[in-house]
Amino acid sequence: MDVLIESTQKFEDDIDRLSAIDKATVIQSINDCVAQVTAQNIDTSTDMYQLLLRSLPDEYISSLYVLRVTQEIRIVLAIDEDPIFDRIIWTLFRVTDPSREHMAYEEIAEALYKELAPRSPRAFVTA
Amino acid sequence: MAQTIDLCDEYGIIYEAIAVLPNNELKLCFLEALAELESRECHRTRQFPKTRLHRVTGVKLAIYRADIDKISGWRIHVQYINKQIHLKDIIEGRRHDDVLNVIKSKKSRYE
Repeated sequence: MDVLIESTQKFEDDIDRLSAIDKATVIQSINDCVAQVTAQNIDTSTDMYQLLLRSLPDEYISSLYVLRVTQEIRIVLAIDEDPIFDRIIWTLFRVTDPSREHMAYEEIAEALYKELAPRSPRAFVTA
Repeated sequence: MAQTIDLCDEYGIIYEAIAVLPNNELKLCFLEALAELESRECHRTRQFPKTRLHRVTGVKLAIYRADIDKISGWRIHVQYINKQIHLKDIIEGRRHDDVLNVIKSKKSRYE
């Protein structure tokens, strides 16, 4: 499967504010992760973890993660398998520090999941 | 070989679309979107110019967003299961949240 790496405006703004060394570290960390982590082994990765979410409807499992780059740098991202286009999409949302990772994570989750909230009860088929 | 792949509507999205779409123009757009989603040729080439079919981000379930009409923002959510398209929801247009705007796309490596 091909890998597609997408980044948001806020991610690009965040990374541009980093020092040259930190920016290089973030980029290296992303590329190392993309090379090693797959949708199947992500839950055993020591550098990636998920936070508790209030905003996700019950029938879904989140694909949002935090990547620990250094002690002071975190990336909030999503990893999504895309079978129609035969690829995996990494979406880079924010670069943040540990004190703000929860807020960034929740803000992104709220924006992502607001249109998934069912208006009437429906069951989703799991493959 | 059949020209189309299976399109499933177990949740009555077509019925709902006719009820909620506010005018005949949008209803026609909806029909055109369905035709593109079931087109085997579109799936073979992975080109969906009308619906701009795109994976919904942030959930492990493979859900896709398909435009009914780009201007109004009306769209449908579909799920891809065993090479079938399952209609899941119809969503009214709203302003796209800035936090989600993807501005850069690279294959394999971030640069």
